[in-house]
This record gives sequence, structure tokens and C-alpha cells, in this order.
Amino acid sequence: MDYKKPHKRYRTPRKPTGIKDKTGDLKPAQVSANLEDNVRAIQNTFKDSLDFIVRRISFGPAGKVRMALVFLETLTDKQSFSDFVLEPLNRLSFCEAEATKIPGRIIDILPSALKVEEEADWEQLEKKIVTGHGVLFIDRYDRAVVLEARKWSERSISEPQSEAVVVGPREGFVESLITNVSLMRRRLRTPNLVMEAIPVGTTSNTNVVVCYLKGVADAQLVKQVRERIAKINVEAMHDINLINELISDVKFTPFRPFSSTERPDKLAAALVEGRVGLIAENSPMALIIPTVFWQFFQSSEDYYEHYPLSALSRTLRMLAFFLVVGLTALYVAIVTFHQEMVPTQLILTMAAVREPVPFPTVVEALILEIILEALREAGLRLPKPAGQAVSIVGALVMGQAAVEASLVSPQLVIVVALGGIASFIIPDYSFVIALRILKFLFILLAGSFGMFGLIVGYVVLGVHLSSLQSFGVPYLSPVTPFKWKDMKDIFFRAPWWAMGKKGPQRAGGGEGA
Amino acid sequence: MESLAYILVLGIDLTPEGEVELYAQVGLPSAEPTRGGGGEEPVVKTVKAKGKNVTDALDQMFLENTKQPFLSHLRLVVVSERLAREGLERILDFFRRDVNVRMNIRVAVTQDDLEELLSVQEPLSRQPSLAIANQFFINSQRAGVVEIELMQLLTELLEPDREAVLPLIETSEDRFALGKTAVFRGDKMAATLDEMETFGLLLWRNKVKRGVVSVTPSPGSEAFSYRILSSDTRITTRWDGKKLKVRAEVRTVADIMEMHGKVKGDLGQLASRFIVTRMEDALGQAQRSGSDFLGIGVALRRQNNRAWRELRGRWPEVLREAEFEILSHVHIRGQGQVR
Repeated sequence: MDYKKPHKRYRTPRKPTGIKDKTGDLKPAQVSANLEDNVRAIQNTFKDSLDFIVRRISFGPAGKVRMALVFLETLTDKQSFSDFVLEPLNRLSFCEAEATKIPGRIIDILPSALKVEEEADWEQLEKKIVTGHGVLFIDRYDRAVVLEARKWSERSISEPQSEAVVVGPREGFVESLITNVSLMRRRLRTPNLVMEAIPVGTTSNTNVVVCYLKGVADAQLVKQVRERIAKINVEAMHDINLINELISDVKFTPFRPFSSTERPDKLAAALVEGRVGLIAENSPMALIIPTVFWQFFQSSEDYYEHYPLSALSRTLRMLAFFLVVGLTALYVAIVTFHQEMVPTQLILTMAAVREPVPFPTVVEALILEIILEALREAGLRLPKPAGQAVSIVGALVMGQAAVEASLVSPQLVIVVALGGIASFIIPDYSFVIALRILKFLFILLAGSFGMFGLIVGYVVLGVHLSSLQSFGVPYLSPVTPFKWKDMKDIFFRAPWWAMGKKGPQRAGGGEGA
Repeated sequence: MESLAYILVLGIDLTPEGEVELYAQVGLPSAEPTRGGGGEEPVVKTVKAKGKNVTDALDQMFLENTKQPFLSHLRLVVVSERLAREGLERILDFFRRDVNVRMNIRVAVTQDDLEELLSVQEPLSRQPSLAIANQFFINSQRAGVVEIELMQLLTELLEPDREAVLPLIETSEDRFALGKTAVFRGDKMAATLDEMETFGLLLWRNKVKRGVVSVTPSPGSEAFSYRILSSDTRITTRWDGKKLKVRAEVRTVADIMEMHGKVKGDLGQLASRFIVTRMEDALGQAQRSGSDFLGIGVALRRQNNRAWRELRGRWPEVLREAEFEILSHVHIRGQGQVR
């Protein structure tokens, strides 16, 4: 008996077309003219996203014109789609003959309130969807229409937290790039203000905006910034400060190569000076390139306050630098090695209170400094009311108890506290952290070698600072290399009438003007 | 810091056997008022040590004490009269060489017992060494005492044209008394000056800048006082081959401080006469002791170096035979605030 093979219909699997992305999913390279293929492909990409919406629309005679609007509802404004896409399409009336022409003319039909463009590249379309665009696939048309209707919740503009001032504007950058750009545009109302967006991060696709004033910033500098940013190879960029390390000239230093600011007025002033600013999406800060050492002592207030008053603050900040880095170390050096430097009456009192303390001064100083750093960190991370409680417990209760328990001497508490207060005088938070690291090194040097160690420490610090560069600009300029004309805004701010038309132009070594 | 013994005053004596005896007044840390209260406990302790010289005695002090003697806070060195008459050379070498000793510490001589002197608890001040330092400062400002720092003493001992002087410090009940002066010939104490002669010495050395002087015009009459506002002494010397002629001219500007009844004579002239007498007294002591502590040799050396080199070998004799002219001009500028 002949065995008859049962007839089985095999469907030849459709040959996969398109390209594989890095997750291994197969994707079309281009938008197809078949609506269903497009919808299937896009659904496949976003199948696990709860906020992904596909809205099918058909209109015209007998529903001849079929479309699908896809978007992420968390990033888009559904009302806009309804008002500016669905409503106008529903109101259209045309005959069957016309219906075939609709796909090619859709852009002309949609109202211009929305930013509308056509796109055929599949990868670009996906990117558009994740950045808050709606995509309209139309049957029998091999291009998709991209509709911009971004809307997401964002923080409103508030006063900068880390750069609060008494005099001057109170606006600070927020996480929204568009808002930040508008803050800058409002300050520099000139077409020369350039805002170039460069996407960074292979996954995050974060837009980094290079902003500068055309004709003021050095073209070479701008080119270099652009190139270095383009070379960044990271998966995601969550904050602009990430760039700091990625594009810096020097890799090993406690000092930040570029200063960051929360204040649009500060960035605007830097741009006028010929510097380049970097703003990024989702980051409430901007970077200023190039940065020199002296910028960390400058506050926006210096420029708004009457000049003799700002001179006092500036001098205090310079003094604070030495207090933060060297005050405790100086105390350790004097108490350990140079007792002859203390006035007689004071040394007798100091010796009396030091007598019951069981640790050498250097250990005592390190203990107190570590406690201070711990308190500072604790105060930062905790909610505000709890933070205050920690400060009070730390400062009053622990300080007093430590002295009474003869764990530390009261003079050292004063010295360490003074250093702590001095660290709050300097306006740049990151710069102070660098100084706090150095403080520990200086204490160890002073505890081991006394004043000699301290002097060696300062010399090494000076040499290190001189060796740093920020995009080719020496970190210590214009003091070294010395440029007299740029000294108007270093140790003191010269009166505005003495600065010339452009203000502290290139002050601090901005090479670009 | 807490393991050091801060020596604030160092008394140096010579034992009859010829050994150097140190009395170190050490500031006591625990006695300092750190948290109010206190005040009754002693703030200093005197420790003693003997040795062949200062270094040896200090070395002994190390052995006999729990803390390391530390000389950088030394304020005053008091030398006993016995040692001063024996010669300062014996102790000064240590002070010249030791790096811890400051050059601006004060040096004085005492005729009293050193141990007794260092045990004086000054009632107006907690810390005796600081009290003495302050007492020296105040009185040198008002021309009451010669104030000599270690550096100056060394210079005066080393230079051939001058002789050294040191203030005498005495105990008077529970406090220190200053005002007298010990004068030296070479490194040995030669004589003492009383308060009046000390004022004369300060005038000769042009060290009077401020001060109050009370003058009794004639025995039995009432004294009047004037306050010196400025004073300048110029010494000019002339050697004619046989005799040294010295002319000292003092120009003083003063205000009347106190005056009772009617003073006979010109106030300025009376004041001038007082100044001249004081200078003559001091000069008399210099001539008698053969020690040129007034600075006449210094003046001659600068004004006529050739003559100085010729005369330096027989200087005490030249000084005794020299012809002196002492002039004083006191300008009474104001009457004080008479309200």
C-alpha cells in the first residue's frame, strides 16, 4: 500500500527583512507602505511599555484612508493630538478619488500649530517616539509623519540651592533643556547666541547644548569643545557634571577642570567673556569652559554689589582658602613642633587643657576633622529639619561632651570649627570638597614635619595648580602667567566703570574673546 | 606641648664652691584659669639645679624633673650680684649659642636672694614673669629704669667703646622694685646707681622720651612737677691732643603737671638745673668707677675715630681728666589742663 504522505501545507516563512538592533530584535530599516507592517513592527518594539498607545484612525469615504497614530502617553500631550490631528482630519470631506491623494498631502492638511515633519528612517522614528513625539503611519505611504507634542511634568524655575545670593536675580536652571535655553535666550537677546545640540550617550541620547556667542568665543575653542563632546562614548549621561571628567585635559587632580553653575546670569556673563557653556537635558546645571582657579572665588553677587563691598567678600574667600586647607594643620604644627610661636599666657592655658588628652595633636585633629566631615555629610543627605537637628547635636552636644571627656582640647574645637565655617565662605561647593581632601594631607604633613611639611605642602600645591590646564588655558592665569589687563577681576573686582565696555572681559584667562 | 616645662624666669647664681646654680621659675599649666574659678593655687613653681656651667645645670634639671625644660618662653634672666661681680662671661656664652633663647629677653641683676625673689607672688597680676616684663616696659617708657635686652647686653659687652649697664631688681614686700642700675666694667659689675643717677644715665644715653620729673627748687620749698614731652641729648667730643672736651646738650620740651604756691625763679631754668645735676651725678659715678657707661666713648669713636684709637687704651684715665660742659634747655610748653 502506498503510503501517502499526508498533505501538509507549509507556509514558507517570510524572509526576515530589515536590520537587527543590539537587543537582537529585528527591525525594518525603513517605513513600509503597508500600515499593518509598520504597526506590527512598532508594537513589537514597544510591546512591554505600559504607556505605549496605538490609535487607529480611518476616515474618508467608507473609511478608505487608514492611519495609525502611535505615541508614548507619558511624554506627549494627548489633547494636542485630538485638537490638531484628529479633529481636523474628521472635518475633512472629500470624494473617493481624492482619498487616494491624501497620504502625500497630509502635512499640508494638518494645522501648523504642531511642528510636523516626515521621516522614513525607522531608527529615527523610534528615537522620536521616546523623545515625546507622536508618529502617524498612513496606509499606502512609505513615510511617517512625526508630530511634536511633547509634554511632561517638570520642576518650575526656582532659586538656585547651592548658589544663593542676597543681591541679584533668583532664577536657577531646571532639568528641562528647553526652559534652560529660554532662560539663556532671555538674557542674551542676540542672534549671535548659538545653541548647538549634540546627543551624548548611546542609550540615553541626551542632548548636550554647546552655547557660545558667535564672534566673541574663540572658534578654535568651540571646535575643540564640539569635538571632545562628540568623542564621548558612554551608555547614558544623567548629568552635565559627567562631562567634566570626560573632556578634561588633566585626569588626576582633586580640582574640577570646569566650574558648574546653577545660575543662568552667571553662564550668560561667562558667554559674554568669550567662554563656552554646556547645558544638558535633565541637568539643572551648566558647565563653563574654560575655567580658571580664581573663578571658584567669584560669586554672582560680586558683580551686583557695590564694588568696595564685594572686595571684602572676595578677600574673605581668599583667606578662607588658606583657613580651610591650612588652619588645622598650622595648629597641629605649632602645638607639636613650634611651641615658641604661641604667646606665653596662651601656651600655658593650652598646655593645661592638652594635659588630660591622651592622643597626639595630629590624631586629635584627624578625629575632629573626620567627625566634622561626617556631620556635614549627614546634614546634607537628611531632610532639612532632621539635618538641623544633626548639626545641633554634632556641634553643641558632641563638641562639648568631647571636650569634657578630654578626648579633644577646646582650642582644637575652635580651630576645626573655624576651618568648617571658612569652607562655607567659598561659593563653589565642589571646589571646597577638593580643599577638604587637601586639608587632611596638610594635617598629616604638619603632624609629621611641622612648619616645614606645611610649606612643602603649599609649594607642591602651587606647582600642581600651575601644571593644570582647562582647555589649554593655564589654571592659575591671569596671575601666572601674569596678564595685568586681566587682573581687574581676580583679587578684587574693579568698579564697572573701570572695566571697559564688556565688563571683566577675558578676566580669569578666557582666551576666547 | 604638655610635656614641656615652660621656664619663664631664669635666676642664675654662683655657689661659694664656684658652681652655677639655676633657679628656673616654671609656669604651671594646670594653674591657669581655664574655666573660671581658681586663683588661689600657685601659678609658678621654682625648680633648682646646679652644675659646672649653665648647660650642665640645665642638664641636671632634666634629670630631676618630669618635664623637659623649655627656654623659648623665657622672659627674664636675673643674675645674682655675686655672679655679676664675678663676671657675666661665664654664663653669656650659653645664651649666645642656644637656639631656643630669644634675643629680646630682659636681663637684670639682683642683690637679693634669688629664691626669695622668684617666689614673690605679684598681687596685681597672675603671672609674675609677665608682670615683671610689663613693669619694665611701663617704667622704661617713663624714664624710670634702664631696660636692657640680651642682644643689647651682648653688644655692649663686645664693643670696646661702651660699658654695659643692667637694671637692678629688688623685692619690696610682696612685689618687685625697679629703678636702680648696676654698671659694669668689662663683664664685671663695678657699681650701682640710685634712681636719680639712673635718670642721669638715661639722659646721657638719650633714652628719655617721656616721664615725670619733680623738682624741689631749694631745700624746704615746695616741689613742682613737669612732664617730659620730648627730650634729645647730643654729645659732642673734641680732642685737642692733651685733653678731651665733652659737651652734652639736652633739649627738653615739657608741660607743668603740678605746682603749689609761687615758685621762685624761672621754671625752665629750675628744671634745667635739675637735669644738669642728675647728669653730673651719673658722670661722677662713671669717673669714679672708671666705666664709660654713659656713651662718651661711643660719641668719640664716631666723631673722631683716630683720636678714639689713640685713647682707647687709657680711656678711664682720659675720662677722669676730661673737661665736661653740660647744657640743658627746658622749654615749658604748656600749663596742663587747668580747669
